[in-house]
Amino acid sequence: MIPSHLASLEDGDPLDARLARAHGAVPERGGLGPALTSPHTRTLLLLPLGLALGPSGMNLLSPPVLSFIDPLVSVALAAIGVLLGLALDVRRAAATAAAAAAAVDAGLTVLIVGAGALLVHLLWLTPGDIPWFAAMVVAICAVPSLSPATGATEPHALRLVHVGDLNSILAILVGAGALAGHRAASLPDAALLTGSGALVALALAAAGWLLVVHPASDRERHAFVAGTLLLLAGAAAYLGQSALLMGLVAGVFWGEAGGPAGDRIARDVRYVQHPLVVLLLLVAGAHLTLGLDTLALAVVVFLCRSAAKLVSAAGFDQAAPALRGRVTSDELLAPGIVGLALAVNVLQTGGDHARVAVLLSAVAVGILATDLMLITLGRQGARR
Amino acid sequence: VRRLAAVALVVGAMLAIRQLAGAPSEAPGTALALGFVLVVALVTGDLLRRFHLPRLTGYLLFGLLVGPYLGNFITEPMARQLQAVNGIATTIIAFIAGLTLNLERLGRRVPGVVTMTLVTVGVAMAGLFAIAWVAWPALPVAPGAGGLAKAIMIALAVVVVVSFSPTMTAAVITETNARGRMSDLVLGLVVLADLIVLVLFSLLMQFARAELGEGGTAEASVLVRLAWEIGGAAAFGSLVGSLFGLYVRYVAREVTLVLLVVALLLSQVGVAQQFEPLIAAMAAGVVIANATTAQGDALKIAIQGAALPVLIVFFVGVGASLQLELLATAGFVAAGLCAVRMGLIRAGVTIGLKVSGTERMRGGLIWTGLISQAGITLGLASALAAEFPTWGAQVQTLLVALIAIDELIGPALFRIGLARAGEIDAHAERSLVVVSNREPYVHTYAADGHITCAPATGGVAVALDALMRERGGVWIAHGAGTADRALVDATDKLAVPPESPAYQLRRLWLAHDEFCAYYNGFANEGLWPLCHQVDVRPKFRSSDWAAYRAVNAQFAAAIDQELPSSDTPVFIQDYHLAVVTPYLRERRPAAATALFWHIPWPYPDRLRICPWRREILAGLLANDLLAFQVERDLRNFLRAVEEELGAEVEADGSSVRFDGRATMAIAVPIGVDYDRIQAVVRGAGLLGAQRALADRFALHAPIVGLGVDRLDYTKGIPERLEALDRVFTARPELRGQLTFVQVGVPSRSEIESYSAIEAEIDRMVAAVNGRHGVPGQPLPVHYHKGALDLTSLVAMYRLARFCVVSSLHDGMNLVAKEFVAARDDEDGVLVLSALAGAAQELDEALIINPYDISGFAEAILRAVDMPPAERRARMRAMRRVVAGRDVFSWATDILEGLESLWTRPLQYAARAPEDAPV
Repeated sequence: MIPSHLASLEDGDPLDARLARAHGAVPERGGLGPALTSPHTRTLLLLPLGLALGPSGMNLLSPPVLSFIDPLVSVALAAIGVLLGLALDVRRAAATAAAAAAAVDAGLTVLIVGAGALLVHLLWLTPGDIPWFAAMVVAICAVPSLSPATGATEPHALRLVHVGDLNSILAILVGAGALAGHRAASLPDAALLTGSGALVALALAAAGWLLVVHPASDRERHAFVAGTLLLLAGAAAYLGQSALLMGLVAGVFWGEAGGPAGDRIARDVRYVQHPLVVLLLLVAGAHLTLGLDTLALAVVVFLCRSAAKLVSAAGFDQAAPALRGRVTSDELLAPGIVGLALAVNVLQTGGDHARVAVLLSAVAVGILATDLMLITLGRQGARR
Repeated sequence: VRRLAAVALVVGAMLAIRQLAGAPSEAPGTALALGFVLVVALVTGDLLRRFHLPRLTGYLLFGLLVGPYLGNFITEPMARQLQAVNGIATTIIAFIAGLTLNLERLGRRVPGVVTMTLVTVGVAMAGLFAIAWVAWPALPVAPGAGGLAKAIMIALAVVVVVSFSPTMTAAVITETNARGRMSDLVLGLVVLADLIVLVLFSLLMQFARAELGEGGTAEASVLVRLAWEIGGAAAFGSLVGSLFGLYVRYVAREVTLVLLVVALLLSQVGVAQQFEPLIAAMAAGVVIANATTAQGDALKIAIQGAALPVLIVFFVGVGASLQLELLATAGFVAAGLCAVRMGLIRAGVTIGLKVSGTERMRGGLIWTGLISQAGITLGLASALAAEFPTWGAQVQTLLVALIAIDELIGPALFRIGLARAGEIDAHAERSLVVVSNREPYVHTYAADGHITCAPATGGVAVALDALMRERGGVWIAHGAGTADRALVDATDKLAVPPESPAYQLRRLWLAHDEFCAYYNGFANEGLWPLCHQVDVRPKFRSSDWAAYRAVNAQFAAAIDQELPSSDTPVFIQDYHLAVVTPYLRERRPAAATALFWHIPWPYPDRLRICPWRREILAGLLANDLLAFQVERDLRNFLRAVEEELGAEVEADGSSVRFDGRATMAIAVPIGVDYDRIQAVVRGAGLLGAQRALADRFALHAPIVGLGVDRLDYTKGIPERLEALDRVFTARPELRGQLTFVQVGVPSRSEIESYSAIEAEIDRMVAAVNGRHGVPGQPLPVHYHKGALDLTSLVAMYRLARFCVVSSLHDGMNLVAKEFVAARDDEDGVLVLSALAGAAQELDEALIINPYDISGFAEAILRAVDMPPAERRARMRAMRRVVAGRDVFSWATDILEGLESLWTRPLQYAARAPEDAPV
């Protein structure tokens, strides 16, 4: 559900925790409670729920309501980016086997899914859709749930976390490039646009760092962190850029700037990430359109991605001897939220809404199918 | 400087963003505007506070400056997008206001509030009507009108002029965290008054339509519409509140999102159905707060904690919407009208107070809460203008100018009123007096003659030290260090912490014999075994009791000397100081004191062992607030005061009346310094410390167990060793595969019972190792007698597969929580005694009865064999509990309880199973 590096940070809804501590307030939960707390079943529950509540269903999440909560979706995307950036150890990541492993996994997945999707592309898309197509491929290839069950203190577990980090970041970078490419007239323009956005994110991150490093109170710190997240998300939305990238840049800055600010921001973002992610899933669900083309694309996504991951698992032994025999294919198969987030980000930034909704739907259905497959195979225990 | 630099960066980024997007942009700007508003308004508000101006004035001014009417920094499209968010903010504020309304507390005062509201509104309307009648020719409305038409026009205008702003009132109360009778009264009054205004306005409009020749519907339909708007809103809000309350009670998942949905429902659906959203939101809050008390309290605390952004958005939105240009045209008349309105409201409140016969105390400040005007007034003025375009538009212009003035001065005035009434959280800034036996900084002479300073390392001491650094004040404690006297000034004080002094440490000098009798004797040979249900007989000597009282009296005298004023909170720590407060009351009858009893409280039969139990009980009841770790202890205490003193315990067990005074009694479980442990966990030195410990303790076995305790007979260490013996006997294959590290910190060794337990543990460790040790293999038990520093302790926690806490009786036991806090890898199993307070919070530990050795051994084996997924699931659940309630929130909760004694006691206690031992 949540990327591996975020998984251990996922603390649940903040109000739930507060209420659970009230004297006798919350009895043993039954019914819906456990399903909502399990990251594994949450996708299976919330995406269809979003679909049922959305315009294709009961229309409670009608287009005006979706438009109203759109800023929150941007904030959710920025928050995911921030947490990824904070989790990334820039200086050490490259030195580990993780880089090689990530490259193998990402490379193989992109290659195989890309080949499969190309077939669909030739049949279905027009040349103008290529940036979207690229974004979709990258989104599908995000591998964010590499969280082994053996505990993150063991060296191979830490390396797996790095693989997850690097693959998610690769997805975000390529996705952001694709978005900029769609908006800009030329490649240099796209690079300039992305660079400008990253600089804005850096400036906002620096401001946030200055504000959070010595707050007068916890309440004030929460407000500053919320404000900075909103600024990052708002800047991305205003400029039509990737909120994930904006958040990622800020997260890397805070992680590398040192001092207590990074920890404080991570703690506060973690505090709100859970409801934001639930919201993201519901919104993604509400945007789903189920048609023949969606299902066709989803089948390609599912089959190609699964095949790619199985091949990747074998490739790990060669690329990363430190991980030899320790990565199972279901650890690689487990889908995560970064792919979905990227697809939602693409949807947010405009373009042909119907086409993008099909792309998002294909990603979502692919994720659901993978989750179902893992459950059916009884392998969820090996996941997070 | 740092903040200004941050603001400069944000402003620069905003300019760059607008430049990059190209102007004018219709791009989605809600999030950007919200972020900008939050960050910059907060800094602006803080800046103004340094000039002794209220923060909310800063937010309003900021809104004014950046809004479309002045700076245009928030562009018109952005402002439009913000409007919808402001609607949600308004609903949440009203919802919070509803959560704060305790009907039970307000119930007795309802007749008084109704009378006061009627009189206040009546006086203000009558006065305004009379003045307007006389001044009519000079007013820029309809100077030519006369007779009945003039009367109707004036009456309508007067009703709108008198209207208030419940949202603004609630927002100010929430922003200032005000609590008290005045806040309650003003909120009730403005809500009631606006209901009266709405009814009057509707009736008058109906009359005006008929009399001023524009026709109208039948009166019955007006009443039906009103009933729908007000009654329907209350019913809708109650329904939504009830459903939300049920959801919180029975599902309690994703509450943040559901709360947002509720706010959206109340603000959007309510409006669509012609409901008054404010009333609906407040009704929802009232239902949750009063029908589901525990959830209401928890929800209120949680929402209030995160309310600052909502409030900032609300106030900035109000500031940005002020139409300043109208001040230029109707400013003078509006200013005059504002002054007259203010004077009449004040007069109305004064008369209302007399007539209602309530709230005489500080009632003179209530009028400050009735000046603000906002949405309701604006809405009524618009309705007037729409219905009567000629003279109504003139009235609207005047009213909008009046609202602009009232919005600017009203909140600031109300804040001043609340501050003078002593109801806002200015007390959070007030200094504090902490009293404990042990001092936070001990100075000792090193071997080379230099003086070294050792800060206290216990979780409580660290938390209180942090609190004192923030608030300042005096910490009074026994000076036990060899070099303590060398550093104090003539008043026995020195500024601490040494690196950045923030508060005063007052050292108290106790004679050696007196200290021995007070501390070793009465406190540790008497009270400690009395309160812990173990097989050690308490020893009560009258000489020890005399010393105990004498030392407590000395502490009381020191408090009296250091207490700047009687409303400065005094926070007394633990069983060493049970009778300080009666002595303090002799000198300072009105002192505000709280005492935290860290250890268990015995059941009444056991308490009878103590010859001076009544004096101790009465001494504790001399405090304003008394806090225990868990409900079990609180229950035992309440039974004891009933049986021994005949004290009157309130039905809900929250308060005790004895000797003419009331004491609030609560259970507030203590937590650990979670952040500090996280810092160690993330620190660069942790891996090194783990390696060093593994080498030092020869931890070569694949499975490591851990116990960390003071060497105390209450900790159940012999039982633990017996269980380990049973484990190695039952599963011989674990020999060499499992090493149990027992860290034992010698304590109170001069007391016989303590030296005896030390000797017994030594003997048992040797016996277990002798029986189960395999030559060349790791030892079954590694015994480390001595303390570990925090980094080593955390490293040890991380090395352990499982940690055992087997107390025979314990108030809380922080080792259990420290172990959980240290395991951010979400691994490790906690084996926890049911007789430790922590067991009432940490359900996911393996709960044991330390007296049942077989069951204990089985639990250890279960911990050894537990699959990783189960370990992770259990640890994850426990980490939520421990992270959510750290030692700082513990201290804050007690102080907040002390500082708001008029409120219903907060219910923080952990669950207390019915079969928990008493």
